[in-house]
Amino acid sequence: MASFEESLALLSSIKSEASEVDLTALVETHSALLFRLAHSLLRSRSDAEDVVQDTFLRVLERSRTMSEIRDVRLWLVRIAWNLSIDRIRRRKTRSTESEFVESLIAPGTSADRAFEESRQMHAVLCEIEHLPKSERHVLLLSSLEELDTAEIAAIIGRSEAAVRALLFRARTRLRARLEKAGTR
Amino acid sequence: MNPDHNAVDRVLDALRHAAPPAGMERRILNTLEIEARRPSLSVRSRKTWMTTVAYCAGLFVAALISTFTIQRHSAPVVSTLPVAQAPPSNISRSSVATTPTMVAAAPTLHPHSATVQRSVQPRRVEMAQSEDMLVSHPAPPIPLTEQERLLLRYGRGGNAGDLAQISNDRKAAKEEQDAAEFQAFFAPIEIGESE
Repeated sequence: MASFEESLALLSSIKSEASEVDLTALVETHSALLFRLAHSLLRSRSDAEDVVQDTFLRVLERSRTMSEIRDVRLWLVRIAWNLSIDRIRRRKTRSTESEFVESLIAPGTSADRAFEESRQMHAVLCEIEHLPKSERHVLLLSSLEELDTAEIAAIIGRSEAAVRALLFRARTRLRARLEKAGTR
Repeated sequence: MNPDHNAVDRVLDALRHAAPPAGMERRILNTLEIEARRPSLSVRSRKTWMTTVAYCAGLFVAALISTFTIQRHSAPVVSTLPVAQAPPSNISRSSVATTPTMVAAAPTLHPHSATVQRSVQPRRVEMAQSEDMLVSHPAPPIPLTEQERLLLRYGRGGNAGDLAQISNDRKAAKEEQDAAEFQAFFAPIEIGESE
């Protein structure tokens, strides 16, 4: 006679096999969005991929409660967003930002022009990091065209009107700071 | 257009169109497959939970045993009280023997705080009672009568003549003589005869 734990393990394996198709579909459908979401915060491709993987591992852990979730896409986005924020807190330096900036420079650009563009990109990223947290989050989330205002509001726990106001303030503040830095 | 504004748009556009690395989905699915083959997370968490419950139960049993042992060590002190002290003559021995048994058995029926109070209280009673039995605490002296003091003094002296003085006859004679001397001393004086 099988023990109680063996029976539970067998049951859970059966359940995981049954939900494997769903997980595969989830990965294929949402992994790109989750990657961009994590990348907008982390600006590191490897870290963003780790966050996506951790997100689906969380889904595997909570596979029993999947049926209770109404909007799986929003649920996944919130998990990935929170995991990205946790990873930023644990990370001490943003050493991978140069890699991202270099990827923005078009190939074949002259050295002087590439240097100037690189300086501008670094300045923009630096000013984005110095924005207030809520404004920064709204600005980065709004850069993802897959997310509308209602979803952004649900992710950060604000109203839609507040999201629009935060986005307006973030853009205004960012331009003002960049102009001020450029006139020095 | 301001080059800074252009840079902002380029950065946001790059974030918007960031493409995931090639093979990312396959790697994630492989990882999920490996994790799914492991013992279920719920089973692992249930194992951890059961281990924690077993550990807490063990601790509780150990605490119960230690509490019971402490009570067993403290109870005989209370129950041996009547044996060390002789009970008064008007109290029967059976009633003295049953009282500490009730005191010793009572703490097991009460919560832990009441047990501690009861285990402290009998010790205090025992100390108060045992102090009365110490040599350094004799009974208060009872005053002797005059006859007893005389007897004690004559007995220590060992004089047979003095001892004979405390006999009734001698004593009566002595008292009679003293009374006569008293009457003679305070008797009214007859003036005519003296002159």
